Amino acid sequence: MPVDRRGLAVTASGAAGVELLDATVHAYLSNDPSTGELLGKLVLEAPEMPMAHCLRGFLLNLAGRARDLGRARESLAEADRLLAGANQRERRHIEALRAWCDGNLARATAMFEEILIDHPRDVLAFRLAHYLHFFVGAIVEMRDSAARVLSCWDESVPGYGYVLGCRAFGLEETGDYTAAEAFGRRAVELNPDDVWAGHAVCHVLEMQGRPREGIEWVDRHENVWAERNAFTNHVWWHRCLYYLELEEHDAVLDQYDRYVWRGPSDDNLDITNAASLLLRLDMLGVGVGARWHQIARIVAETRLDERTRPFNDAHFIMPLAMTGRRTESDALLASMRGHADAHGDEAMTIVPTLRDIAVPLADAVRAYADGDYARTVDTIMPIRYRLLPLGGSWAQRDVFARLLIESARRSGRTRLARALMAERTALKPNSGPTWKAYAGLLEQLGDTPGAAAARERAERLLAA
Amino acid sequence: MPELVDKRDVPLTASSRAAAEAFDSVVDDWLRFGRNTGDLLNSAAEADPDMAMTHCLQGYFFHIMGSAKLLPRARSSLQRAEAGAHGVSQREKMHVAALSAWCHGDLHRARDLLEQVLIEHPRDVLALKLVHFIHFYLGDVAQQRDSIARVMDAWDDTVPGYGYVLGMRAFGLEEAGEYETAEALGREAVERNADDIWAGHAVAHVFEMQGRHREGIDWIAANEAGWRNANNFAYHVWWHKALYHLALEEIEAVIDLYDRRIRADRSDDYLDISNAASLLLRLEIRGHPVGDRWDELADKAAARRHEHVLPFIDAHFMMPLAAKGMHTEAEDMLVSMRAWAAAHDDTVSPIMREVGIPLAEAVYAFGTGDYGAAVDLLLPIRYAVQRIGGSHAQRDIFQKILIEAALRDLRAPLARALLVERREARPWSPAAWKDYARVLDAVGDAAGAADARATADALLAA
Repeated sequence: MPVDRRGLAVTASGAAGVELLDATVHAYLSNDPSTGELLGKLVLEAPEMPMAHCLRGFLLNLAGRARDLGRARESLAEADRLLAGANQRERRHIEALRAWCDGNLARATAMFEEILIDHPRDVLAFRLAHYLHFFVGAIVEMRDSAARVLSCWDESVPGYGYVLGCRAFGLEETGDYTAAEAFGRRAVELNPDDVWAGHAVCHVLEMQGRPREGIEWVDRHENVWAERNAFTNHVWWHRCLYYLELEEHDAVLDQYDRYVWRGPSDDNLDITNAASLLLRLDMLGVGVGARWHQIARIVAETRLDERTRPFNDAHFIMPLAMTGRRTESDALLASMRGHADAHGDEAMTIVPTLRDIAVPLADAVRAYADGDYARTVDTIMPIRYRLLPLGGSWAQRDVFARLLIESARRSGRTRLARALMAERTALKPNSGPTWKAYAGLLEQLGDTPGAAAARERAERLLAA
Repeated sequence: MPELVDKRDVPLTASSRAAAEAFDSVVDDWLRFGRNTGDLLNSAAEADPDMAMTHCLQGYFFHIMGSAKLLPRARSSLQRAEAGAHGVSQREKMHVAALSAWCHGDLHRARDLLEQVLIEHPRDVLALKLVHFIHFYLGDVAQQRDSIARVMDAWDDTVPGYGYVLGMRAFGLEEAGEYETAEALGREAVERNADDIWAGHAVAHVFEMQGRHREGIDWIAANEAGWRNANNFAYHVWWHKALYHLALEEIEAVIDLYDRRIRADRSDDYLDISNAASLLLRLEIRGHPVGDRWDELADKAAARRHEHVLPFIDAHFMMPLAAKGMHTEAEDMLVSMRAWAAAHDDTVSPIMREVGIPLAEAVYAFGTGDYGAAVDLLLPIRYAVQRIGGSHAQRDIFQKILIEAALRDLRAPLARALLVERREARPWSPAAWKDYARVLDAVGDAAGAADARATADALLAA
C-alpha cells in the first residue's frame, strides 16, 4: 500500500495520487491560494482514494458557507462509497466527516483525536482537530492536542514547522506567551510562508502589549504572506490592532482601506475582521464614514438566513445594527433563534452557544447601536465569562469586553465601568488606551490623584 | 439601629461601636484562618444579638465548612439575619440575599450578589473572600483572578487587611497561570502578615506548578511558625509539603508528614479527608504501600457518603471506599449521588451529574482494578474536571488516575500520548519521565525508555 510523506498508509490506486494528496495537504497547511485548484485535481485524478473525498469534505466544511455544506455531503457520499476498502485510519476520517456534516463538532474532534493517538503524524487530523478546538473555544484541549503529538515529530518529518505553529497558537491562547513566541518564531524560520504560526506570534505581541514589535513583525513578513490566501487579511487586521493601541487612528483607517477591506468581500473572516475593527473605532469615538454600509449590504444580502458559526453571527449583527437596518437585524436575530430552536434536539455542537451566548451578544450589539447602553450592560454581564465557546481568539472576543465597558461608561454606571477598567489594567498593564480610559473614569468618580497617576502612565506607555 | 462603619469604612448596622468592633474581630480571625473564629463569633452575637451581619456571617461559615449536617443551622442563621435586616443598608440586605441564595443551592446568584456588593463597596473584605471561595468551588479561575483585580485600586497600605487581599490576588493569579506575579504578591502578603496562611499557600502552589520542590519545602519550613495559630487549613499546607517530598521520592518524609501533621487529629472535616485520601492514592499510584492508613479514612468517608455538598468532596470520599473495597458503601454512595443530582436543580446539580458522578465512578473503578472502565469514564470528562472546583494541584489526582489506569490497562498508544502531554507540561517532573519510560518500554522503544529514565534520574539528583 502506498504511504504519504509522513509514512502513513493511504488507500490509493497509485503513487501519483498520493503525491497529489500530499501536495494538497501541504497547500492547506501553508494557506496556499492554490489549495482549491489542487483539491479539484486530486478528486478528479484519484476518485478511488477515500482521503481525497474526505479532504474535500473537510475543506468545504471549513469554508463555513451554507452553500458548501451540501457539497461537503457529496464528498461524504463519495467517501462512504469507498468505505469498505479504506483502512482503519481512513474510516475514522470518514466518520469525522460524517459527524462534521451533521454539525456534531464534538464527535468530529473526538475522532481526529482518536486518530492521533494511533497516528500522531497524521498532520491533517492534527490540523483539523486544532481548528475545531479553536472553533469551540476549547483552548486547553487545543494546547494539549499539539503537546501529545510533538514527540513524534522532528525536523526530518515533512510539515514539522506547521505543527510547531499550532503548538505556538495553543500555548498563546492558554497564556503561555514565552513558550508560544519561541515556537512561533521557530516555525516561521522553518517555513516563512507559515502564516498561521506568524499569526500566533502576532497574538503574543497583542496580548503582551507590544504593538511596535507587532507592526515590525507583520511588516517584515508582508511580502511572503501577501502571497497566501484570504487568511492573511486577518494578519493585516492584527496590524490594525497595534495601530489602535498606539492611538494612530488615521493609520488604522488607512490600513483598513488598503488591507483589511480592500473591496467587497463575502468571506466570513473578512466580514468579521472589518466589523470588529469598525466597532472598536466607533467605541473610541472615531468616525468611520460610510464604511459600515459596504459590509452591511453584503451581510444583508448573504447572511440573514445562513447560520454556520455563532462567532460570525455575533459579528454579522454589527454592520446591520450600526447602519440602523432594523428589518434586517430583526431577521438575523430571528434566524439565529430559529436555527437554535430547529436543531435543539440534535447533537449539533453550536446550538447551545448560539442560543445562550450569540443571541444575547447580538442583542447587546444592537442595543449599543440604539444607544440603549444599559441594556447592553445587562445583557453581557451575565455571560461575560462564558464567551469562550463562541470560539475565536482572546483578541477577537475582546471586542465584546470593550463593548461591555464602554456601554457601562455611557450608561452612567461609572462605578461598574471603573471596576471593569481596573480589571482590564491588570490584564493589559502595557496598554496606553486602557490606562487613559481608566483615568477618565477615576476623574468622573472624583479621584483626581488616581486619575492623574493613570493618565501619566498612559502617556508614558503611548510615548514609548 | 445606628449605622456605623467597619474598620474599612464600610457601612455596618450594629447596636453599638463595641458590636461593630466585635464583628471586625471575627472577620480578622477568619482572614488569617484563625482558631478563634467561632468564639469570636459568639462574642459578636452577645454584643448585639439582633445584628443581621453577624447571623449572616454565621450562615456563611456553616456553608464553608462543607457539611450537609450544618445546612439546617445555616438556614436558621438566615432566618435570624432576615429578622434583623429591617432598616439595614442595601449592602447588608444584599449579603442576606446572598446567604439566602446559598441556602437554596444557587451559588451563581450568591456569587453575582457578592460581586455586585463589591462594585459599590470594594473594601467589603467579607464579600471579597466569600466570592473568592465561591469562584474556587466552581473552578472559575478567570473570575477568581479578576474579582480581586477589580477592587485592588480601593486598597492600599492604609486599609486594614490589605495584605490578605494581596494574598487572595496571588492565589487568583496562580490558578490562572500567572506564576511570576502570583509569587511576588504572595511573598509580599506574607511579609506583611506572617500569619497569612492563604498567601503562603498561594506561593506553595506556584512552587508546585513550576516543579520547584526544594524551594517549596524550604518555604513552608521558613514560614510555619507564623501559622501556629491557624486552624485545620494548616493541614492542607502540610499536604503541599508532602507533595514536594513525593515528587522528590522522599517517601519517609511523606509518611512522616502524613502521620504527624496531615492526619494529626484524624478529623472528619472534608478538606482534611480530601488531603489525606488524595495523598494516599498518590503514594499507591507511585507504588508505595500505605499500610492501614485507609481504614480510619474509609470509616469517616462512609459515614458522610450521603451528603453531596460539592462533587469535589464526593470524588475524594470515594477514594478510601474504593481503596478498601467497601463495595456496599461505594455503590450506595453512587446511588445516593445519582438520586441527589436527579432531585436537585441548582448550581451544583449539573456539575454533579456531568462530572462528579463519572468521576466518582472512575475512582471506584480504579480502586477495584477495573482500569479499562476508569479510562473510559475519565477520557470524555478530563477537560471538564475543572468544574468541580479546587485547585489545579488538587485536581491533578484525576489526571494521575487516568494515566496510571491507561498504563495498567495496557493501552500503550493512549498512555504514551498522555505522558508526552504531561512531560511537555511538566518537564521537571521525575514521575512524568519515569512513567514515560514505562510506556516506551511497553512499545519496545528500549533506547527511548533509557533516555527518559536517565532524565528522571538527573532531575532527582539535581
